[in-house]
Formats: sequence, C-alpha cells, structure tokens
Amino acid sequence: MNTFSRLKHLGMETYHVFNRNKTSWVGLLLLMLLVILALFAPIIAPHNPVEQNIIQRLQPPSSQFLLGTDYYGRDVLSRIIWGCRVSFVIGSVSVAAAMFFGTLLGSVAGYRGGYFDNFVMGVMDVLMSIPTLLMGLLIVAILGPNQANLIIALALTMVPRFARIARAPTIAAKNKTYVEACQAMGFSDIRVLVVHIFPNILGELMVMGSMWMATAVRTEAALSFIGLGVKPPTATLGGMIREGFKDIMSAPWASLYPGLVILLIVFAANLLGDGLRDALDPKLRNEN
Amino acid sequence: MKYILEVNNLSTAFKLQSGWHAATTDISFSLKPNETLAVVGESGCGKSVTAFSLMGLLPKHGSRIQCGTALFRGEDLLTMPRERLRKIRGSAMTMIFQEPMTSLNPVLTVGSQIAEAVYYHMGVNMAAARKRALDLMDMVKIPAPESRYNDYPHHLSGGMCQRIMIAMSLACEPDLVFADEPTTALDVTIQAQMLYLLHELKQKQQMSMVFITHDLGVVAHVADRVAVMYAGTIVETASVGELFKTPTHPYTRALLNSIPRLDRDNSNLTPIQGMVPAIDAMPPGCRFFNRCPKSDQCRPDILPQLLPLKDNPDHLVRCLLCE
Repeated sequence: MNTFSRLKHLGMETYHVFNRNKTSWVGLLLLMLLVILALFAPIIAPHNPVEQNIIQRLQPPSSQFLLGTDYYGRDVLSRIIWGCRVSFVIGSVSVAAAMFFGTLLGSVAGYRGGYFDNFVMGVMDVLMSIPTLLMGLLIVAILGPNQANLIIALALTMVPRFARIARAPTIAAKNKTYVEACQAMGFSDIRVLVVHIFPNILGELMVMGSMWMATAVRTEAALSFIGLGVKPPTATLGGMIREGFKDIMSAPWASLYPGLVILLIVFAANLLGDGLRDALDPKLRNEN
Repeated sequence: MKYILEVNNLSTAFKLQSGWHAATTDISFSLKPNETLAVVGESGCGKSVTAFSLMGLLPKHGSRIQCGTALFRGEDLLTMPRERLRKIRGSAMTMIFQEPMTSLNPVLTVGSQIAEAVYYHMGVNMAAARKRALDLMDMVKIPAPESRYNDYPHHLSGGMCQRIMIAMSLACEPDLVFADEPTTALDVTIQAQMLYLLHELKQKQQMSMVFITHDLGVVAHVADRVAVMYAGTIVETASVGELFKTPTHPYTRALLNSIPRLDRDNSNLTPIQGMVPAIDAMPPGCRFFNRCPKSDQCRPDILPQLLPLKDNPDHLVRCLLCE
C-alpha cells in the first residue's frame, strides 16, 4: 500500500519536470528503442549472428545485408542487435547489483555513523582510487573472461560510487525532524532506513543508475575490445570493433556501426540521466 | 501506583571542546496519572534536553546521562535495555514535536504514517491499521478523513499537520505524552484550537502529559502543575494556581513581571538584567545570583536545593532566601 502510493507520488512530480525537458525524452525514446531491439533480437535480427559464411565475407552494405558483413561473412546488423542484448544485460545487471550493494553499504554507514562509517567509506575510497577500466581488467584477469565475471567486475567497480551517493542524502535525511519523530515512535532502525529514508534518496540513485549504465556499457565494450570480455563467437559491440579493426581501411562498416551503436547507448543513457536529475532535483521541482 | 513518572536527580551532559558540561542538573519531578506538568523556561534552559533524555533520543555521540533515575510505571527509563525502551516509546510514551511541517515524512501520505504507528505497535494487519488511522483522524477533527488519508504533508496546513502528529502520537493510547512546544510554530488561533484539542483528548484517553513551552499564557491554559526551569535546573514547582498567585523564586517573579498584559499599564515592563550563564561557566552556587534583585541579601557560594516551602509542602523552591 505504502510503496505504491509513494512511487505514484514520486512518479507524478518527476513526470512534470521530466516532461519540460525535451532532450530527456529523446534519451528515453532512443534507449527504449535499443532495448526493444535487444529484447526481440531473435525475431528482429534478419540473419543468424554467429553463422559464418566465407563466400559472403566483407560485403559492403546492401539490400541483403543492411550494414554489410564482417570478415567471417556474418551479418553486421544481426550481430549488432544481438550485441546490444549482451551490452544491456551486462550493463543493467551490473548497475542493479552495484546499486543494491552500494546503497546498502552507503546508507547503513551514513545512518550509523562513527567507526563503522569511517571504516566502510575508507574501504570505498581505496576502491574508488583505482580507475574503472583497470579495476575491471584486474578482476577479469583473476576470474577469467566470461559474462558473469564481467558483471561481477563491473559491479565491483561501481559499488563505491553508489555507496558514496547513497551516504550523503542518508546523512542529510537522518538529521531531519521526521526521522527523529520516527525514532520517537519507537520504529526500529531498519524500518526507519527502509520505509522512511530510502524513498527520500531514491531520486539520486535513479539518476546515478542511468549515468553509470552508460559507463558500464562503455567499459564492457572496452574490455571486449581488448579481448577480456565475453568470448567469441558471441556477438558483443566491443568485440565486433576489435574483429573488424584489421580490415578497417577496406571494410570500415564492420567496426564503424557497432561503435556508433555504443555511442548511441551512452548518449541516450546520459540524456536520460540529465533529464532525471533535473526532474528529481527538489530545487527545480519547486519552481513549477 | 501513585506516580506514573518519577524523575530523580537527572543530569545530562554534552561534550564541548573543553570537555563534558552538564546541560541539566538535578532535575527531579513526578507526575500523577492524568496530570499535566508544564515545563517553562527560556530557550536553552534544558526543557527539551530533559524530555529527550527521558525518551532516550539524545544523539549517541557527544551526549550522556551523568546520573539520576526516571521511573516510568516502576521501570527505570535510563537503565532499561534499548529494545525495551524502543517498545515503550511510541506506544506507552510518545512525543509531539515542535515543527509539524518537518516532523512528517514528505514522501509518505499522512494517513499511511498514522497507520504505520498503529500497525507497528498494535500488531494488527494493514486494513485494521488503516481503519484505526481514519478513526484517529476523525478524533483529532480532521474533516473528511477518507479523502485526506492519501494527502501528502505539503498538501496540508501547519495546523492540520500538527493534528496528524497528535493522532500519530495518540495512536496507541499512551500513558504519557511529551509535548515539546507543540504550538510554537502555529499562529495564535490555531494554537488555541490545538490546546483545546489536546485538553479534550487528554480527558478522553486518561493520559499524563509533560508540556514543554516558553509561553506562560499557554501554561495557564493547559497545566495542573508547573515546573520553572532556569539554566539547566528546576527553580520552582507548584500547582498552576499557586504559581501564578504566589510566585516565590526571584526568577519566576521576574519572569511574570516581564510579560506584557492587557489588564495593566505596560509602560514600565521590568526586563531581567544580565545574561544566562554559559554552559561551560556555571557558577558553583545559585545560578541566578548575578541577575537576582535580592543578591545583596544572599551569598554566591552555596548551591540552594529544591525544597518545599514551610506553609505549602507542595510548592518547591530552589532559593536560599525563600526557605
């Protein structure tokens, strides 16, 4: 009962401000389009993404192969559609996992304060000092390159970010009178944190979620490009750029189009994040 | 059970840069069932600190209770396990806050916030809690509770929010309510409505109340007994009629003399000279000495105790000259 009305309220207010900014709609629609493409890949993709056909290799874009074929004669468009699927799965699962664990650590640390806070945030700061790509590389190198390990690696690099982002608004909310009133009502700390503080920090987390989604997709492509991502022949955007790279002078379509799609995803997620940030910013919200 | 709450020699200290300093010292009072005790005093004299100490709501870092006991229905609030205190808080002992607009969670509907208190403490399901919340909203005279239930705090006025707060704190029929300046943030007509409502609910629910305020006019309306606080100590307690009729401590008298009144000439209001001593520079003796008009008959080195007057054992005063 609570959860629904709360989300409805948040949704309504958010919608009004979100609606004022047209570029955020562009981001949302673009992202939706790509997600639908990825979701229905088996139906939409015109060819099998992994079936090799040496006779048809390095064909330029034509009516049969809309975006051409790669070195092994596979349809670039089909591989991009299937590759989006991998990118979105890795991006969203790793962001969701990082958001869950990061928020848990950050909000509990912020709420409890004291030595626990210092310890947890100290560890987070150390983790954050290692660049995302380097950290991803390290973990994949240790665990071995496959999709699950890639998700773990990306999630681990993002946990400290979400912990930081969850902690600050938790501390701000902790000192509000309504949290004091909750304590005066005898509610347990877990209840205060989950029922009363969490809905108040949800906005910030959503914004960071969409922003870091872009980074996760980008990092996954980068890792796949250097051969540490999902193993071939599974189609991934980063992997396609790498495979097409050696023929880039004669057949640029094999690398160019997957690169453009990565650009589109990152661009769309950032636009959406910007729109959400404006929509959820209480200062801007009060203006209408 | 003669008293519902018996506080004895309570002292709460805060940590400053120069070490621990007592914000309240030797706070002792007792409260009968269905009695209202008004705690009056200027800002910073320790009224709220006392209530927060008893509720166990002081910040964990930088504050501590130095000594004292506080028996609530025979159990010591200051030494009981935290879990036990948490169970009592919100059900048998609740608090109404000063700022109604900020004391409610802005992203939850007001109805669900009342229902949550019921659900949490009374062990009923959400549907029953909702029904009880609607009854409570009706009880605090919120018109059309059904349609107000799903409103958010920012949809309601300050007075309405305070009614919601009152409904929340009375949800589990508490025996004791701390009202921490519940009318300060409201305008005067709403104040009067709130006081009337609280009085009516108190009669209906048979509860005791500690009413913290700095408004002596409010005191006269709501209180059975009054405790006047100054610089972290109680300087005088008496029944409300007695206190207004024969104020005895020089501070109480000075306080009453400094209030503008409609029924007398206000051209020569008497302000109290001087300043309250700082928390880290409390004098060893009487804390009012430097501002007291009778200080030339008194001495600064002896700390007076809160003692009953000879002719009225129910009227206690902390003054060397009044014994």
